[in-house]
Amino acid sequence: MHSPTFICDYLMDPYWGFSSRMLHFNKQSIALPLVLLSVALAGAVCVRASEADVRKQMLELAGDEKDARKAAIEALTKSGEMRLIPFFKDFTDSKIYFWKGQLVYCADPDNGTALLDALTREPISGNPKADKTVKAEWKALSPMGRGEANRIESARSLLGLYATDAYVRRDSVVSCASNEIESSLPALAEMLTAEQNKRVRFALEESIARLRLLHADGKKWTPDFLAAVAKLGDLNSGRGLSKLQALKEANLKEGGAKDAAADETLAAAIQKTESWQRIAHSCGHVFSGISLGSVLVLMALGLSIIFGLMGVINMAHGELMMIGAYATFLTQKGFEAAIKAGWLAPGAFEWFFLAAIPLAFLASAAVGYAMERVVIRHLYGRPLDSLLATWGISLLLIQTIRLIFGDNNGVNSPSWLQGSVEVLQDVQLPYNRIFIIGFCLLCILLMYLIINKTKLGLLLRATTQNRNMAASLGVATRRIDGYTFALGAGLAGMAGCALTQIGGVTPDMGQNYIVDSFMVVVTGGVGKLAGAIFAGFGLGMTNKFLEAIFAAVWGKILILMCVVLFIQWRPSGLFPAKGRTADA
Amino acid sequence: MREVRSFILKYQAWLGAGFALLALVLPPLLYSANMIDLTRISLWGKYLSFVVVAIGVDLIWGYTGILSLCQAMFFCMGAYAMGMYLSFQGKLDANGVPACLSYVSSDVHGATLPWFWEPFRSFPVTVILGIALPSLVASVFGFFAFRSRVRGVYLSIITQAITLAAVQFFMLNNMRLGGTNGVRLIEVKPLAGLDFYKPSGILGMYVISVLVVVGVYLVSRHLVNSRLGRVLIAVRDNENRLRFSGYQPAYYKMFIFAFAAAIGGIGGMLYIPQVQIVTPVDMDAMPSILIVVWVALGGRGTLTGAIVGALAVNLFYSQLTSSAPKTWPFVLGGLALAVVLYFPQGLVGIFRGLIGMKDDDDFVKGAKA
Repeated sequence: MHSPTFICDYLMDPYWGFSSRMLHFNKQSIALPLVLLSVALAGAVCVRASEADVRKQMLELAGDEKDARKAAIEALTKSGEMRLIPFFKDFTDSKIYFWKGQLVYCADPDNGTALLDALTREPISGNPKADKTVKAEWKALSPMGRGEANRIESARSLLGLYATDAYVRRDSVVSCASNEIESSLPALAEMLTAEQNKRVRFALEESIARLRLLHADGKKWTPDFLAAVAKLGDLNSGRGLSKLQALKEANLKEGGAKDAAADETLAAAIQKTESWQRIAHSCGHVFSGISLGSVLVLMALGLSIIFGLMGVINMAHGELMMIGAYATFLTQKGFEAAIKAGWLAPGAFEWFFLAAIPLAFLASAAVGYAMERVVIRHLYGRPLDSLLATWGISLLLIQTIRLIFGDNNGVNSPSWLQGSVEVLQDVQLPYNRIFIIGFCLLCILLMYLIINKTKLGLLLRATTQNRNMAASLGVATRRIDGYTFALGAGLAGMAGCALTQIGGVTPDMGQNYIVDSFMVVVTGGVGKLAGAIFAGFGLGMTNKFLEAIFAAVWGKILILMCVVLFIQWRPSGLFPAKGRTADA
Repeated sequence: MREVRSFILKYQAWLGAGFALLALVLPPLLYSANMIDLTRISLWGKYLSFVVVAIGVDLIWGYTGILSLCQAMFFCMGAYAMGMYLSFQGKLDANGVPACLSYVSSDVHGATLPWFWEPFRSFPVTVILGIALPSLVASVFGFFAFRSRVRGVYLSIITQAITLAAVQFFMLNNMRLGGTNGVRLIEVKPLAGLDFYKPSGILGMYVISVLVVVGVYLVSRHLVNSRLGRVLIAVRDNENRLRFSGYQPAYYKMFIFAFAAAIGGIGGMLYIPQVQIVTPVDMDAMPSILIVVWVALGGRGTLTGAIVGALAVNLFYSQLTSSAPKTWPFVLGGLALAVVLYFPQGLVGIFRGLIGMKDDDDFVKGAKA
């Protein structure tokens, strides 16, 4: 009788986060042993009601009688009916409608989505779409006051305590404390005795302590308050921290030192929690530094290969990245249009991002190739001139895109990239950043293979090392230049594609990254894969670290200064090319 | 054409003097005849301050082959210095702190004056600092960069990084430089008979700008025609050969970099009285590259090119932004591309070609080597 999710959570509990999110919302329908256990332990709090009863109460809730609505909420809270959890949410979000004597759910009435049963989410008989005639038959639900919305929210939290899905249980436990539902204390305490899941236990202990502190005002300490404070300290609870700090402040206002032992407990708890939060924060910083660094590596790889091969600093590299981001944006638009036209199943939208990756590569590579053929080809041996020319191109590209698309466009994250994994207490790793890191590593690996294992790579390396010698041995160096430029541009395009997941898409988005990627090239050395990788991750992390320690601005200034000083020490970057030329 | 050439060659000095005199006299005359208004004159005055910094860029890029992307920073340093002096002459708050500083102060008890504002109470000290500070920064940077033989595009990127760091630095409110708002002049009192809000001040600043441009041009001309100038051109054309001949290019480069920075500072000092505001954004990456584009368009390696380019692009800009603002990036990008691809010798070079004048330091040939 166990649902797959339950088993999954249970087995993977120590590493919680890696249980599948895809399975996360699929059940809650069947009365499971655990629910029954909880119900039994919680005593009379929760008695499983029949579906007919639940439906009756739901109608009451949608009725006009204020008192009846209140009673209905109470009754529904005690019903133990898990399907009410999403229902309550939809109800407060006004997605529930009263139609022909029953409550229906409609996701998006303006776009004519089908009506579903409010409780089971199954298509109702006839399954009409929310067109004009159907909407005319809707009876408006009476408006909900703030107090009522809060009551429904509490009911949802309380109901969720008995969910089989550990995620839902934990969220409910946390929201019991966040919404200050004091009446949930006995239920929480009961639950703690039986709960097996570590994360839920943690949330339970935390919520109980927070609720116990609800009436503490720092003036009068009871042993109960003190125990709760100590507990929050033991748990390093980030959620309880603000309350503790408020208590300390109130205490100071009162003059403090009325109860030295209590003050000490409070201070110790705050200090311990704060230091843990600091650790958690810096873990987060390191992680976002790595993901930023991986994007920089992608950008810098292209820049560095192009620079190494042709001596050209491509000021339009950021704009090639921007082209990739806009290709992603267009792919999304295309998928939306195709779904609307019925060419694709609605579920296909989830996968637009995967389709966008090769498209972004191709779009940027095409622009890059065109740039090389039309402009850069004519500027060989004039690196400073090609810098100016590529700057001109970047202006043209930015303004063209701005005139076509306007100033700000967003790309949605597919649902499989939303959310995050909690690897340690309070250390959340967002999926999109994990994805970006993996994606960039894959691209780097591909680049490595292309450069070291393919014929193009061989010719590329030969031309980089000695252009004249390679040419006299029959390498079509100009053609290699074109391909390499397209390859570097394509890499930038994929970086742009990845960036859509962590930021907006604007015509001048490339400008924010170009200087950083130049710095990566400068520190990493030219045309060196390893150099770009080390420097990219190094700079990305240093950046985030310095931002965490100093203000963001000082971090930026410091990093630029560091790079300038680094150049003194190693003028040709981390991994200098070995050669005997005077310019090395 | 031969006649034109020999005429120009023969009367070079007189022609230059004539142009300068025309620039000096014509706009005030036109103004007094009510044919142009004051805003136009202050606009031209502003462009002349750009000309000054462009001459500096021409010296380091056109003659020495160092593409510096941080000249706007030196320009702004001069502008900030003069702006600080002028704000003392403007609106002060109760503590005697200039308004632009007290506006952004987060201090509830009223802003206090930071120590480094004190020297800028005096005009001579301000002028000295406005020239010395940029060249000091340039020398320090140049000392490190040129001695470790950072050159070419590497150097360009690093100079760009420096100017971006400077933007961040100046933007900080607690650096006490006016933060994002920069230094804005408010109700500045008349100075030596020049009232910056009246014709006297605006025409006066214009005349001063023309004179400074002429002065800077003459000094730079003398410099590039001297022995030092020949070394600079040698640095551009073949630095290694120069080094093997026993010169130390690093110190020549350092000198010209500092010199150009000082010129940039002078330009900035002319800029602020005519524009009344300087903000950190003015030293961003874009303005620095713009200066380079002016010089490229006018013709690098010819001092007249810097003057022609700066004036031409800016006059064109003021025309275009009023008629078709959206096309400006296209025009600018197109100009940068076209000048690099099709006429690297710039406007002056085209003119010289037209009249068949020989150029003894053909820049493009040198850059290719």
